Amino acid sequence: MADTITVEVARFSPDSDSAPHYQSYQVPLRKDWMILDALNYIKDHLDGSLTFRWSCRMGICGSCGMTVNGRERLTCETLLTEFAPGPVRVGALRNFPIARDLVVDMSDFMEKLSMVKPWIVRKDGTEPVREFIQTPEQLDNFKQYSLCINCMLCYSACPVYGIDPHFTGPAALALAERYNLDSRDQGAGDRLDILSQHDGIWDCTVIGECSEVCPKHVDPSLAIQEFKLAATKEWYKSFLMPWGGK
Amino acid sequence: METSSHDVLLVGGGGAALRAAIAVCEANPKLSVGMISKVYPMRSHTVSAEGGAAAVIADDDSLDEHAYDTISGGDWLSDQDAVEIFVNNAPKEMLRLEHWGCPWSRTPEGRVAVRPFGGMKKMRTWFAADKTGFHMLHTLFQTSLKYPIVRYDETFVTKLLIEDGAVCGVVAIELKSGKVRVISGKAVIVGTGGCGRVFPYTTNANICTGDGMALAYRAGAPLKDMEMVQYHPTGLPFTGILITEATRAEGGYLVNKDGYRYLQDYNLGKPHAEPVFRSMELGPRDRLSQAFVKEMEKGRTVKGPYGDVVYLDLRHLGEAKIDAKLPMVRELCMKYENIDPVKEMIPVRPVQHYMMGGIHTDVNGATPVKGLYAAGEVACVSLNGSNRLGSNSLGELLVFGARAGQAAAEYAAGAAMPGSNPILAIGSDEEHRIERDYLRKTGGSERISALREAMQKAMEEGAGIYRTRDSLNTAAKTVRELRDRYSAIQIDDHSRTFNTQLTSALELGFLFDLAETILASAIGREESRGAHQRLDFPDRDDKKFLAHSMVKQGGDGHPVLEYLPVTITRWPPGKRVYGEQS
Amino acid sequence: MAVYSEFEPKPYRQQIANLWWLERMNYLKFILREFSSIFVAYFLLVTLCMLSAMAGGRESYLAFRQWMASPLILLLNVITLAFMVFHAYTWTLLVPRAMLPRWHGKALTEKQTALPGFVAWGLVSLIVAIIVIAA
Repeated sequence: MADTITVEVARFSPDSDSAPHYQSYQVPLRKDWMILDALNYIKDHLDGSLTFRWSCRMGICGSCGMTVNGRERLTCETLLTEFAPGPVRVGALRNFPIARDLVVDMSDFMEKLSMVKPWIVRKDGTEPVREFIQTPEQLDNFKQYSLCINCMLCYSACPVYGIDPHFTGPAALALAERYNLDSRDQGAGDRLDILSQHDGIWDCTVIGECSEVCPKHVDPSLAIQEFKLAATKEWYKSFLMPWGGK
Repeated sequence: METSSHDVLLVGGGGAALRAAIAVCEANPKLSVGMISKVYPMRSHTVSAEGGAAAVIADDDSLDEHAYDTISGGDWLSDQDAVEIFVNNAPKEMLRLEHWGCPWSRTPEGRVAVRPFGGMKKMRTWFAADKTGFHMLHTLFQTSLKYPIVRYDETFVTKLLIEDGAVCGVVAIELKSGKVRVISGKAVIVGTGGCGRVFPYTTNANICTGDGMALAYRAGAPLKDMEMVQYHPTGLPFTGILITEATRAEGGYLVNKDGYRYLQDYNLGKPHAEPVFRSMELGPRDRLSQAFVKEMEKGRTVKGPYGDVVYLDLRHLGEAKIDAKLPMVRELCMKYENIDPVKEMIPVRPVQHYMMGGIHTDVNGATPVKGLYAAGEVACVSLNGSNRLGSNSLGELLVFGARAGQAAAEYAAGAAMPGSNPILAIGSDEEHRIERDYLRKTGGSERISALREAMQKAMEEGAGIYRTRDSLNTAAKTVRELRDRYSAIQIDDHSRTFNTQLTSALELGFLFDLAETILASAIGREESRGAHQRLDFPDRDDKKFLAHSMVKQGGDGHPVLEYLPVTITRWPPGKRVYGEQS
Repeated sequence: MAVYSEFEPKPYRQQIANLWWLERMNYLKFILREFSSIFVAYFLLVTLCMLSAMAGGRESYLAFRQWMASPLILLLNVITLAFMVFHAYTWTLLVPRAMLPRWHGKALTEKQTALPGFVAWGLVSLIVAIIVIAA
């Protein structure tokens, strides 16, 4: 194995650039290094202006999502040697405006997260004195969807979001379904009203790339289709049994 | 420069800050709340916590026992009034979080499950698989979206504004544009977490640079018990990534190079097949980390490519148990060590993990600076004394975050909005300082990363698990020299847009201040207690040191040390015993 | 040069390429899957024509068969068959993407969820083949 590897990193500074361009750096090829370690090496020793987000370096905070050779990855979990002998290309997530180098503007994503009412909704005003009883089976119903670290790899991989930024998007819809399926929640009706619009669940054409790239195996595509099934059942119920309420 | 104002400001966006913000909104819906965090809230380091959060719910458990475990775990440096408030309120807060949707792991009947944890005599640690902090943070953040909290995301606070001895707001840089914002507030609650990045091997994230501690210190608040630095016994060797104590709670063994469960040689009881409360692998973290160092001195640890390690053996737990209770541990080992804990032993070593010390507060999160509050790891109430028990800190976020929020809300309702002229003047000065000393700086010969690494190395060697007067003084000298070189740092990035070299440089400044406070406190405490172990003063000295170290920033910028007696209520200092006798 | 004014940086808006679906195999498979519905529609039309031809008597049916045997239409029909198989295959594989059935609390795998669909497809094809061949 060679000593070094060429890392091509996307650079963009709104002060001076009209579009991103790639800059090459020679980085030591250490077998324990992740792509993130290579980026930190560049910033610490070669070019202090390289800008990227990172924090936990253990795949739980969701900060370091980028594209590596065109594929969405968490750079703190992606081994550098996977790309030996190189060169390896590191770019920003797609479908978001690029603020600087590898940092994208997340404000649309944050808005989408907030709009799906991602909290426990209680309609009848009751709450137990102790904990809600929730069996392990009931927990399993939504546990997978609660594992989303908000890394946005799914938004980068979703062509629908790329074509139509009004689409609510995989992570937000999976989060909505997480609450819908939580036995303690009574807000599925509210979320349905918000999301069974054409920018909501129905914009999804089941490409499935979101679930492919998800580093935590949340499977947002499944969440969206489950949501569609539930929405369809509700729709039929609403005119077949208009007197039933939710 | 842009200005805005709120009644209460939060600096930080993690568990404590979010809980405090919600508490302010619930205590007084008329108050305007602003939350300023240098990262988006779901990136806060609360997210990495794994093991669990302790609160008494079992029928055979009692608040007094939780209190005793905490106080003895802290080697009697904990303020017992704070401990009593904590154990009393933890169950209520945890239930509230459950009602807010936190996906706690359950018993087959559907009740919240509890597991044993280090230093605890009974099972009282609530857990959400092995991603407790992740679930707690996301629950708190998502619940906070219900409230009208104004968020300033990715906004880096550089200074707390003080006027007439009272806090009146902050100066912060909006990272995406470089704009300097002056945000005024009648009360400021700091919840910025710990400062693990003062050390080279830490479980802490990159963002844990003690911003809030340093800001409060510079604003005149004392920092308490800064020498109490917790080393977690089981971190991965190269990365420092945390392998949760829950691995030991579920039955994992720590073995040396001979496959021997070495903890039995260190007054921690006798080894049994199943975990025994407060014994062996379920002993307190300071004792386990100290045992490692002693094993290393005896030559019984394993020489790895990144230093000495011992092994954490989970193989006897079986794949089913590991996948159900410790799935993230398995993932982390496979990704970062290329090891499957179902089949192989995990190499581990002690790594820095938590700061028991922090901004001095009372039991309501109030610091001596009027209007300034603090909660969570950044604060020192003191709940954890000289050694924190695992699973006490997540509960601390909730209990003291809520109390700080309520106290700040009460204070802000009665206080007057700060006048804008003095604030704008200070804000403008701060803007110029950032321009002159960083953004427009040319020349410079020191790389930020080089200074940071040298300081970390000095801290590890001088103020590690075992300390002596000489090691501490050497470290203090090195840190002072490095600090003098800070003014010559080289800045490559002159852009205003998302300048992370600027933030790294500012963070390094915070770390230098905090390193000094840690060393000054450690030099002053001439005894061994909990996590602070002096080879030259190996015994606990309750006559002189049943007191907290308090450092304030002196006129020359360096720490001045004082002492504050510990509050003892119902548990007079006793012997700290683990193993069969405890 | 971007129009940059101090403190008001303009982010770079990434545009998705027109031929985005050529960038990844999964995207191409998706487009082909959706595209195959055109052939499904064509097959439906052909079937309707056939029924109409049969209703018109022996001669009209024979004329229809001759038309179907012409080289161009034969080629088109072969391509249609290929896309129809692809369509049915990807359609059946979508079932586990849309539901996660549980058996006694344990979730079924994707293969297990898709299996009934394939079995049903196989059975129906077998029955139809038997009818057609026997006739």
